[in-house]
Amino acid sequence: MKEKLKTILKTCGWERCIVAMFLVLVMAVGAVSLIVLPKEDFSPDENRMLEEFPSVSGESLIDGSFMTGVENFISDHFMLRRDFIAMHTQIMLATGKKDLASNYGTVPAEGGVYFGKNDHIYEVLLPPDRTTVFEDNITSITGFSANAGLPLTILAVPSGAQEQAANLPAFAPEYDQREALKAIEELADENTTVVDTFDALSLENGDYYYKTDHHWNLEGAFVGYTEMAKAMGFTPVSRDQYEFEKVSDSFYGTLYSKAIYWWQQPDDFYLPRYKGENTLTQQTGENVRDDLFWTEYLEEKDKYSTFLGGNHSVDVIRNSAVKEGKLLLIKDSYANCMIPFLAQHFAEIHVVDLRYFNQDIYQYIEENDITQLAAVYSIKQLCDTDVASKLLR
Amino acid sequence: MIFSSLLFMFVFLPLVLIVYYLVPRQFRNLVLFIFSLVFYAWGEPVYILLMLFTAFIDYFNGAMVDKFRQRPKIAKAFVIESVIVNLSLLGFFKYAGLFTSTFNSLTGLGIPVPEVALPIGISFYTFESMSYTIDIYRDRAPRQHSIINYGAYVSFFPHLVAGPIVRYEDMALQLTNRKESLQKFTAGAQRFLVGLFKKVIIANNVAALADKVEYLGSPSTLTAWMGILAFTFQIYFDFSGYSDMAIGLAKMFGYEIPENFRLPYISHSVREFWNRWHITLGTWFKEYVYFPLGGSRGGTLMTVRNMAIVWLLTGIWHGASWNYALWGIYFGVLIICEKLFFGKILEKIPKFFSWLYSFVAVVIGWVFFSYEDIMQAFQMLGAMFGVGTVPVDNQGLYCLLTFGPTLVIAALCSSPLAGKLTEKMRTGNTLSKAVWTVGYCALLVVSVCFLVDNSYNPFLYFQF
Repeated sequence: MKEKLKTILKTCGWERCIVAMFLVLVMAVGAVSLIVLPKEDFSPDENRMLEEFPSVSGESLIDGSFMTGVENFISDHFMLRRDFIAMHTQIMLATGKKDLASNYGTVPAEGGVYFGKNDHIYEVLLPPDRTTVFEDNITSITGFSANAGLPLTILAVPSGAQEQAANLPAFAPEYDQREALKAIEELADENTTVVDTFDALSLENGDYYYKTDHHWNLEGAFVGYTEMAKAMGFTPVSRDQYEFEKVSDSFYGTLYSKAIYWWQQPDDFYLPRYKGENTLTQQTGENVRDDLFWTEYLEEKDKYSTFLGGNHSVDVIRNSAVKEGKLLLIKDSYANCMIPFLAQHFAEIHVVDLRYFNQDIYQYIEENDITQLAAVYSIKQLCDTDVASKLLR
Repeated sequence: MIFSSLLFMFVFLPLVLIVYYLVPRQFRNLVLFIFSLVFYAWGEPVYILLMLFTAFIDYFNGAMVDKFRQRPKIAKAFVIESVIVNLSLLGFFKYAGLFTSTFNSLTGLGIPVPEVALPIGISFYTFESMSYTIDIYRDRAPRQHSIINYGAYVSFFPHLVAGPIVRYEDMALQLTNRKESLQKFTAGAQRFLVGLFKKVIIANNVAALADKVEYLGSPSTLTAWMGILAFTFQIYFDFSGYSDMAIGLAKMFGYEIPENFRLPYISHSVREFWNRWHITLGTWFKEYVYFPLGGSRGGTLMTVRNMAIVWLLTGIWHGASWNYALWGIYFGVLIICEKLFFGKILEKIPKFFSWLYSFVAVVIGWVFFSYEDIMQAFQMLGAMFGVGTVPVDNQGLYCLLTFGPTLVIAALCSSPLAGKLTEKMRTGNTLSKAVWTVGYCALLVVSVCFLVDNSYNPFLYFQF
């Protein structure tokens, strides 16, 4: 027996035997763990439900959806998934990569994220020239004022990568979002004001973006609010009327989800506390809350949803201390943390997310006696996602 | 199903290995046949019928050829019938769209373009299946009586979807007389890993750069070279990695299938490149097209004609788009010129220059290969040689900085250096063997990382 083993080791080479055994072992452990390990339903990192094992039917076998389902199930529930992904990130960084998670195989492409200085992760900005999404969006948003017959203020928020270029990796190419702002300004009519926050939000004035999330942080939102209030003709509430209360020191945002790795520093997460009396309420459907912060989200990964509870088709923010002014605000999630400030100036703000809104917006404006319009969007969103087809009249 | 996926490595392969080695020898080809059908059906649940139809048409034709061996005219008729059926199926499923749309644009007619999804691997298994009938007709191999063995030959999952293109005469004996052994198994496992590393760690990695440069368009000279070099390495590591995995897997089941790549990027002429690149395809065209046409026996003019035909077909085989034909013609012209004119000069000039000529010629070839839009290909080519663009821009410098180390690793791995060094370590003293072993195991773990982070796993050869 011993002799036999010796001959085998000699003819095969013990090194090959070990490598082959290791391969078999890895395959076995992977296979067995897929069967026996308990399965998670939800991935907080990716903010999505994980795939369930698909059901078998003649149809799902013929159209291949069963097979795709099984493949997704395996990649979603593979053992140590998060650690393998973090290790992958680590290897990529070690070989000199400065960006991750891109996909240039689709149109429009997904640029992924840059690993910047000072623990910052940034979205890679690509020119919006491969589709008509950006053009369509700005055409219908700038036409909104004329269609509704009301004054409109547009705040197009630049991305962190635009405002903090000094933190980007060396030579990192970027689309200049000022071009996008210029395009919006050119289309705007006399009843439309376009707010330029490019200088105010730049790194020289402070760090106005989360490290791990694509949104501006609370200070950034306050700067945006100040500029917007001025453009609307109000005197903005001064910063010292608020205390920014740190409610978490472990916020890992959406950019981190694209670039999971072990040594990323989390963000601090703040909520604005108005020093005066709180007179704000939020109505979502039939529900009315007497605060704009859904603090239950502080326990979860998706802490940014603490502001207004995330995106709904319509929210109505009422301020009992203000007698008049009914603003209709079309927006993406950038607006969510700015609305608590803006609400100091209006009796009602009707917050509409066009991505989920399925009524006739002009009818809605009439029925609710809206007096003024505003649009708050990140430029990145305007480049990538059709948000404005519902503004067509 | 592709080899470089979690599904294959952690479900399919363990299962087929267990079942294969548990059943008695006489059922092993049946096991391979059944698992191969599952493997194919996984990606093409409907087209599996087409694959089986192709296979059994040739099983029948082979039987008929064998039966009428004494009456060559009838036997030949069956060979011709096999060729016509196989090429018609290939023509319809692969080229119908191309030919209709080209016909439309030439004539201005509006014939509806058939929307046929390309069945995975059709270019590979059609050639393999066809070779069976022809090899029997030429008396290169005996007829396969067992339909199970025959099915296992055509559908054998290691070479089914992306080659190497095995010919029946290579496999005939092995179908019944092969011996599995631990030695073959361990060598096969090692070979499979080499392919896995090539595909997962290098090819998928540099693919991101190649795609990015192609997507963004109008590159600077530096960006253009970064992009096309990335593609040059992507296609080599993707395809040769897949062939390595196929050869390794086959070996784990006791089969020896032919080599497909021998370090093509070290060639000193384009002709040599094609003797090192996708060898089984070259052999197939030589055996079943070039020689039957008369090869080089009919004087210079005949030789040139035969070579031109082979290279046009080689180009078209790679994809249903005219840029592939152009790519084939490009190589045909170069090889004919080498044969007629400057082949001798290449042998005389310093080795470095003949290598440089060959490498640049091949890289330029990849431009036509990777850009389906021929105008874009010429724009890219212009950019590479400084026409109509700036020499350097931020994009280029950024790519150089972030992908430079990866491309250097890729270049080293496509030279003889990497292979020689690792083989020396493997056969060296105990310490170097130990380092080799740990290295392989570590790279396997790294590969699993890349597989799990599966955001990027495009597979180039499905379009063939």
